[in-house]
Parts: sequence; C-alpha cells; structure tokens
Amino acid sequence: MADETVRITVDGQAAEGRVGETILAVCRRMGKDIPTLCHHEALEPYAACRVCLVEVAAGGRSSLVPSCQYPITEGLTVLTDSDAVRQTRRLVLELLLARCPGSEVVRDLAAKYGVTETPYLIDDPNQTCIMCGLCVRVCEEVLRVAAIGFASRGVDRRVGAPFEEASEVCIGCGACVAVCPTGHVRSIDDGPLRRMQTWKTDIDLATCQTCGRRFGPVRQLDRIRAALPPHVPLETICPACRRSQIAAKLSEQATSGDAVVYATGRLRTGSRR
Amino acid sequence: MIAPGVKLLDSVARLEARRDELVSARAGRPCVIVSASTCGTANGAEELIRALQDGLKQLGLADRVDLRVTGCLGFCEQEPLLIFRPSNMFYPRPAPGQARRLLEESLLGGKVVEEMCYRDPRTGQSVWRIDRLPFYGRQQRLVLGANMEVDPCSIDDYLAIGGYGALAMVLAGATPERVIQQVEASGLRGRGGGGFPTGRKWRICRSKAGGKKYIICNADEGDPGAYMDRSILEGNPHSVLEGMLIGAYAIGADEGYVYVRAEYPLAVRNIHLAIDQATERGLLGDGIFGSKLNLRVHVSRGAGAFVCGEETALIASVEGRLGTPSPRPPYPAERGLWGKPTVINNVETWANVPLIIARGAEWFAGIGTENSKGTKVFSLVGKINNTGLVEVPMGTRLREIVFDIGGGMPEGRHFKAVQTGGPSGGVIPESLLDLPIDFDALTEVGAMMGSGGMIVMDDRTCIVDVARYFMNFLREESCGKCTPCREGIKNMLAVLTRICEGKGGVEDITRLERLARGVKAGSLCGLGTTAPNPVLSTLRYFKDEYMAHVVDKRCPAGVCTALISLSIDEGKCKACGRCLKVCPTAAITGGEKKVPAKILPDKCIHCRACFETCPFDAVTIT
Repeated sequence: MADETVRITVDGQAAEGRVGETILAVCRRMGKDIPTLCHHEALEPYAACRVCLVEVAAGGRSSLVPSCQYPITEGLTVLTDSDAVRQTRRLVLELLLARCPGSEVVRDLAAKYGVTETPYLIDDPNQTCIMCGLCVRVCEEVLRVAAIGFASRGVDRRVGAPFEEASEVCIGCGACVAVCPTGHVRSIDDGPLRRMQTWKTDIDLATCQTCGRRFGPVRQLDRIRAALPPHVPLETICPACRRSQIAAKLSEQATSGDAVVYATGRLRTGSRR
Repeated sequence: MIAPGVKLLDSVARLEARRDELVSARAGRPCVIVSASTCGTANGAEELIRALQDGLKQLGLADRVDLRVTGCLGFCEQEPLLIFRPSNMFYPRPAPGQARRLLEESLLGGKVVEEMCYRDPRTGQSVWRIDRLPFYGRQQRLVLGANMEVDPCSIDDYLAIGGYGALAMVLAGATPERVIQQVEASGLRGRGGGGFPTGRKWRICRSKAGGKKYIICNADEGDPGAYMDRSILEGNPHSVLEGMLIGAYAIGADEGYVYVRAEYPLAVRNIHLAIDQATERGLLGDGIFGSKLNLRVHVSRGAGAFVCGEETALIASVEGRLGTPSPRPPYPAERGLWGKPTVINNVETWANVPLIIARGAEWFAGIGTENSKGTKVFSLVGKINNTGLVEVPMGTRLREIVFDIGGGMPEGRHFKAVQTGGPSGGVIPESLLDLPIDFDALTEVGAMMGSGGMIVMDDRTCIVDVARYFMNFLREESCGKCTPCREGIKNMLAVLTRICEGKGGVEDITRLERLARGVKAGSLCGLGTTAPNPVLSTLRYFKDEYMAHVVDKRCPAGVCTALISLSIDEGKCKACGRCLKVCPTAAITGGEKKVPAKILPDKCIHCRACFETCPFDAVTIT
C-alpha cells in the first residue's frame, strides 16, 4: 500500500499528516489558530459556518475550502491567512454578527478578527442560533435519538422538534445544551421535570430510590437500561447516593484486603494503587 | 411479470426482429401527429385529440390511419401542433371544431387549408410544411427530434425508430472500457450545469473497486423558465432509460434512480410507464439481452426544493434525508448514494448517450466547438416571439438563437440582454450577441450554461429588478445550511430592493459587490457559489443602470415604481377612457368626451396600469 503519511505545506511550512486527516487537524497540531463554530471532535465535519475557510492551491487554481472537512492530499498547499481568507472570513463574521448581535461567542470571535460592527441587516436582535447544527447532529450522530432536526429552508431555517411540538422521543440528556456554542439551546431542571425549553419538551426526572431526590431523566435511564446487558442492573440511584454507596463498599473491602470492585464492574487489585 | 401478448426481448436478434416487424407494419400508413405534452395539453390538445378520433371514425379511417400523440415538439408558442404524414403538412393550434375539415381536406385531399396555416410573424409568409418551418430550420434536433416520432407511452414507437439499438450494440461486443472510451472521445459534457466531462466521471466511478454502484438521472430541473429536461422525459423517456442502461454497463452499476420533480406529473407518469414497459420486455431487470447486465430503475420524486438539483443534496433526498448539500470531495463518483460510488447525470446528458454509441464518438465530436461537443437544448423564453425549446450545435451565435430561430422581440422592441443558466447564470448584453455559445464562452463572460435556460429581455426590462428577482428566488431556495449563502443572499436582496425603491446610495453598489464576491468565494455548494452571478454580471455590463437608480434616482427601463413618473401626451390621447377604467386610485381626469386624459401626480401610485392599457402609446414614463 501507499505511504500513509501525507506531506503538505501550510503557510510555507512543511507539515505532515495521515491519510484522511483534515487540514484543520494538521493546522491545530502545528499550533495554527483557525477559528471554528460548527466543528466538534465527536461529530462528522459539517462545513457550514465557513469561519474555518483556508485557501488551497492545486493545479494552478486556488480556492477557499473548509479546513474542518477538507481531507489533505499529497503536495497540497494551504494558506491560512491569505487576503482571500481574511476578506471572506471577515464577511462571514459580519454576517453572523448581523444575525446574532446579542451572542457573546459571536461578538468575541468577530472582535478577535477585527469585526466590531456590521453593515448588514439585523432582523432579530435576540437571535442566538447561528445554525451550526451541532444540537441536531449530536442528537442524531452520537445519541442516535434524532429528536430534533431542521425545519424550513434558507433564512427561515431553524432547529426544533418535529412540527415544533413537544418531542416524543427526546430523552432529555442535554447533549444539545452542552454542545451549543452560543447558549441558544437551553434546559432547566424544575422540580420533577427537566424542561428542554428550546424544544418545548418536558421530561420526567427519576426519583432516587435512596434519598428521594429527583435526578436523571427517566427516558434517558430507560435508554441506558435497554442498552446494558441483562446481567448488569441499573438501579435508580442518584450520583450522590451512588458515590456514598461505592465509598462504603470500598472501605469495607479495603479493611478486608480484597480486590476493589468499581461501580463500572471493572476489576483492579488493591495493591496496584 | 409479463403481460399477455408482450414479447420478451431477451436477445439482440429478438429486438431486431421486433423492430423490423413494427417498421413493416407501419410502412406506408398515413399518420396524424398531435403534440400533447404539458404545453400542448394546456392549450387544449385533449379536446383536439378527441375531435380527431371522432373525425377519423366518421370518415372510416380509424383502422387505416395512425393517430400519434407525442410529447413537446419545442414550438411552444404554437402548441399543440397537428401534423399529417407523409405530407408533413402542419397546422399550429387548430381549433377542435376544424379537425374533421382538416382531416378531409388535408389528410385525404392533400390540400393546404391556407387560412389555418402558420404565418411567419417576420415575413408574413405562410408555411405549410413542418420541415420548412424557419424555427426548426436552423436547429439540429438530435435529442429532441425523436419527440415527433414517438408516443412516449409506447415502447413500440421507440423500438420502431431503432430504440435500444445502441444498448444492443454495446452488449453485443463492446467492453465497458470501450464504452467509456467512446463517451470520452465524444467530448460529451454534463448538460445539467457544471459541464463536467461525462466520460471522465464514468471512469472515476468505474475505477472504484467492485461492489455496489448506482446511477442516477437528475430530473430536478428547477431554473425559472427552463423545461428542456421535462420535455425529454415527457416526450421520449426510453431514450433516457437507454442512456442509463449503457451507463450502468460502463460503470458496473445494477441499480438506478430517476430523481424527478413532483411538479412534473406527466414526466413522472411517463417515466414510470417506460420503466414498466421496459421491465416487461426484459430490457430492465436481470440478464438484459442474455448478458450479465442487471439493472433496476426506481423513480424518486423531489418535493419542490431547488437545491435538490445539487447532486449531494439530491443524494440526501433520495436517501430520505433532508435535502441539503455536503461538501465535495468526496464526489459522488467516489462516495455517493448510500456511500457507494454513484454517477449522476442529468436527463439531457443521458439522452445523448445512445446517440453517441449508435452514431459514433467521432460523429458527435464533429459537432460543436473545440471543448463543447454536440448540441444543447435551450429553453427560449421571455420577450421573444418564438417561445420554445431550441436545440442547436454548441458554438451557435446568440444572435442566431434570438433572432433567426427565436424570431426577435415582440412588438418590435429592442433587445437588451439574455439571462442564461437561470439563477446561477448571468446576463449577456447586446454587445455580446455574436458570442458563440458554449460552456467556456459563457463562463468567460460571467454567465453560465447552466441547464440551458435563456430568458430574453427587451428594453422595458430593468436590469436591477432582474437581479432582485433572482436574489428573491434564491433567498427562498437556499437551503440555509452555510452562512454566506443564507445570510449573504438575504443581504444582497435587501440592497437590491433598496436600490429599486430609490433608497439606495452609491455605497450600496460597493456593498453589493463585496457581498457577491464573498458569497461566491465562501459558500458550500454550487447554489451558493453561483448565486451572486446575476448580481455580478449585471454590475459588469449594466453599471450605468445601477448608477441611474442610485444617483439620478431614475429607472431607465421605467419599471421600478418608486423611480418613475407617468404623464399623458395630449397629442396622442384619443380620450378613449380605457385608462380611466384601469386606474386603481382614480388618478386620471378627463380621458373621455373628447377631453384628453391627465394624470394627477398626487394620486398616482405608478402602477403602470394605464401605460400597459393605452392602445395609442399616449402614456409616457420618465
């Protein structure tokens, strides 16, 4: 087979990467500062926000490509800070700033590249969604739940549960809240409910068998339970109680000198500590 | 399942026998042809067909004369056409009540009914033979020509003109490699917009290691005013299937999709019918002509998104996902439908393939220009006399298409520009009328071949308004995935609207240019990277008109309502009162009882209704 190493040039410096690696991965290893908004290590490249554009030259022609997605090829020449890159990135940031003038993340990123105001239309000063799609993608690609998606197209495109009604399949895990870069996706635990506010969906929280407090969403626990082998029971216990249970078990075993059994079921000997 | 009476065409010999049988059964039989695709039907073809059927029955000709209902013949301005064979006598848009008379006098009596003949609007001469019609005279209808010869619902009609003969040639003795070589040598480039060499695309796909591969026919024709693919699919669907069969053999695919707009119900019906008929006869399915070629073709209907014509969005849509584009590479030929190597070609491209195989790559390469071979179908619409589908060799001059074939502008208006390539294309001004039209020439002048839409504009078209129209279309059709396209188009539209409303400044033109360049450079897919073309090309050729809007606050074409004022030339006004009736705001006084009309500027909302109505050109716009 061919050599697995791919040699490229980034801003005049020689660099190496593996077959299939993206320009962004190589550049980040080199310590290059390339901004991203829709990129996440856990997800497939999406190439939508366009702030990570870099210039590549091949066969006498150069074009701007999304570094988060573009796979490196032997001999590729990459410019991360050319005039074309700077100009287009600036325009993209101005457009994003006009879309989400209230978003701190957008404002900070724009300011970092010298964009503090925008000449473009501000439709909705309260808009915080930059259409990066991270929430939709994490729900589908990682959680395999696909409770939310995109509705409409063009400027009307938005994220939400089907028909913008309460989701029947959302498990309330909150991954969408965690990945959202701008704080557009929100949730709050409210007594017996986890309110996924952005999706207009309320999920019941389970009650800890030990202390009686509300903790994880019932649907998420059900889903985990369904995924576990039958001989591994998942008890409805909150993290705090589980910690104290494990601590109690540990101290019991430590005094008896036996192997330490972690909650995960993995076995380690006490002596290795 | 084989229907009773259907002959399985499981070998080349059987195909040829069937063709001979059909040809001899039809030889010498008179034929009445009516074109009844979407345009013909809209103009009452069904009634005409019924009248012809009745007439043939009454005249006792029903068994001796064939009545063939065909797809679009391209002369949309005059559809449905009624044609008699063998005389080639034709009548444009005849009234159903005249059907019997025409059958008697022209079909039986061989006489031309002069008053119902077509009259050339430019010379006033009547033309009675379809093959002498100037509209067709300068065309080379390689792809569309067969529409006159086949009823799209009849596979027999296609077989009778040698249909599936190219497939037979391929399966009888050409290796897949040889087929690809021929398509490469022909110089065929994709007719859907990009103009990528078809043979090279096939080779890339073929070179991917074995396993499952797909072919797709892209019939998601979405450009405003463009309908050539619809007409091919409606009028000659088997030619597309034959092309796909040859392509499947060449690249090693065994499954295919036709992705067609649901807004094309007749095309959807006809391709379904064609697939059923071909499957019944063993031309689709397993072991075609006793060879190792297997192919199943499915129809996938698009749900009305323009962006699904972009190949990666199309694939997503076929897979049942949201129709949004993905970045390329990887290209579909490497990783396409369900992750498998996939060749996507558009309708017209597929329809060219059997011609290349049957008549040879050299023949095909002999037509056209150095880097654009063969013919191209254009849909000629807008301010033009002969609205219709025009097929000409690549390299034909724009002037020839617009004036010689298209018959020039109606009402003797002056030519201003032509928009090619739909919303992704650009305008071509009068100074470039002698441009030989091919892929590269169009790109060079800032326009684009696109799928072949050609919208003709006269001097009453405002170029800023045209750019605004296309941005409005794209604002609704952008998928909204990437920032520059979604936000940039919205802002270009806002600037253009401002200019049309008379609120624009010179700085808006700079802003527009900057936005256009950024959207072009930064967008994810072909929709976004070409979306600024209408803006950039109008700025390139018609900057004066933009400046008139922003500096002089004037719309030279008299279109932008905020920038015009209307007045009535008393000398021309005949006080007929028509303008009084159409004015929605009662802004006209006089205009009757021999008093010339007068427009009250305070009340006039510049709607132009009086201007459009006045038969004496007495209303002037400044």
